[in-house]
Amino acid sequence: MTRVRTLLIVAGVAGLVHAVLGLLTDPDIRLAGVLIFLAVVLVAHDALWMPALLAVTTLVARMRNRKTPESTPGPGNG
Amino acid sequence: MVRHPDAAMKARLRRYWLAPLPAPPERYRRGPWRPGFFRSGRRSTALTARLGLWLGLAFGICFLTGLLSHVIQHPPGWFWWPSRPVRLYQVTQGLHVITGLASAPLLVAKLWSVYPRLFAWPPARTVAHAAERGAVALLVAASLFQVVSGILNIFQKYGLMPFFFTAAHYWIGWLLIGAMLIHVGTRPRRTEGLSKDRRRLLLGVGAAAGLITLFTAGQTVRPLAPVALLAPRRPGDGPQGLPVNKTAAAAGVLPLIDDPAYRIILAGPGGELSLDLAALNALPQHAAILPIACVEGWSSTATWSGVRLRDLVAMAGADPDRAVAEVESVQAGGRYRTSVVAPEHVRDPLTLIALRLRGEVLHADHGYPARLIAPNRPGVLQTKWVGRITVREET
Ligand code: HEM
Repeated sequence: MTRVRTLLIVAGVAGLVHAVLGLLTDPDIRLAGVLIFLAVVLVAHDALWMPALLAVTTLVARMRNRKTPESTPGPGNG
Repeated sequence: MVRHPDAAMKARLRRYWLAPLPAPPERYRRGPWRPGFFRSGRRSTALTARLGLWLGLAFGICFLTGLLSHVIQHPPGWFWWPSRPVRLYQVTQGLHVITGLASAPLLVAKLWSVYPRLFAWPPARTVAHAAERGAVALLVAASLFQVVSGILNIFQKYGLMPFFFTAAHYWIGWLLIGAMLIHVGTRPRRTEGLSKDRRRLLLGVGAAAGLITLFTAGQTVRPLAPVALLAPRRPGDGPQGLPVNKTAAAAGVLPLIDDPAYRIILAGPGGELSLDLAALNALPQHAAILPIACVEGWSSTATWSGVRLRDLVAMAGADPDRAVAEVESVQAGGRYRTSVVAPEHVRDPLTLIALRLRGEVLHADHGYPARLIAPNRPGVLQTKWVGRITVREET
């Protein structure tokens, strides 16, 4: 591990610690709401948005491939 | 030989950190966890690295401009913010929102390029691997949080967020930057070049970012206003050709501002004065061409006229070159009902208690009977419906 990488990791951990302390102590923070929103955007992205995007792009690629069968090897899932 | 206890401890930790974890039974390796499930040939570490670099730069700009906006609104003792250039905040906050919006397609593409790694098998090889994946999950969640909450905020969908936007967006900004630095420190080294196919994909992502910028930047870059099709606000929207975030009705001030008993109480070292609208109009009037630069990234410039704040400060018996003024709205509550005007801004002859906008009496939604307008400040600090000004001299 280089010095720069170590420094980046140490600074990153410091940022995370600062964020967590802030989230726990700022009276304007509704922690439950923030945690729910973090989880919802993550799960919505990974389990809904990305599979839907891959399904659409795969379909489009298959349709295009059917039109020009001699083109590049058939793409699979996303 | 006796080993140094520190070294022994380190070795133990290292062993624990890198010890292989048991893999789950192979029969659970289904669906996207199957080897070869993802077959798009366009993904590559080189592509991911390029997208990561762009996204990292964009998030870096967002973090710095966001932090700046935060300290302007909540100035710590060491902080100093000038009143000139007049448009500095308009530029930094405009950049914040423009860069944030342009980062959306970069984020989508970056996450697409690493999506198969979500289904790595075994899910955690070592404790170190599990920690790294945890940090990545945090990074992804925080990135999505910032971009989604930012977009909901500028489109004023406050109700869809189960938290107070500004505070949450601020702290998750720190979370994002922390997780991002860890990620940069632990990322794999790039190994290959870019194929033509991948270069085309990058170009597409860049074009998407460019188009989003083109269609939104007009909310603060005047020449682009005619094509600001995706922008929530355009500079010419609203009463008197100027956008409004909080209307007089929403602030609940309508009965108060139309009351003939309306006065501005001017309090300072010299005592307390009560100024009605006629008294304000009888004072020397000055004009200033200044933007309202909203925290939400839009801005709109107009000619304001009214009384210089420094003249009022002098009337209150304080030295206008080293005074602080606390400007309060007649609004009963709300986070932005008061703002503190620092000496740099009190001193500045462009800082007005405005009575007119483009030569007309202020519209109620722009702060009638009187509002604060000062150079180089976020819109939320340009207090509307002013009811009281308290002047203190700096020691
Ligand atoms: C589409 C993307 C984004 C949009 C539309 C957006 C929008 C905004 C808005 C409207 C504010 C002003 C809040 C206020 O003062 O009331 C703000 C502040 C801020 N933003 Fe963003 N943002 C975006 C992305 C990001 C990202 C990626 C970061 C990265 C760290 C970030 C960090 C911040 C910070 C630290 C503040 C200061 C909050 C405060 O005043 O306490 N933003 N942003």
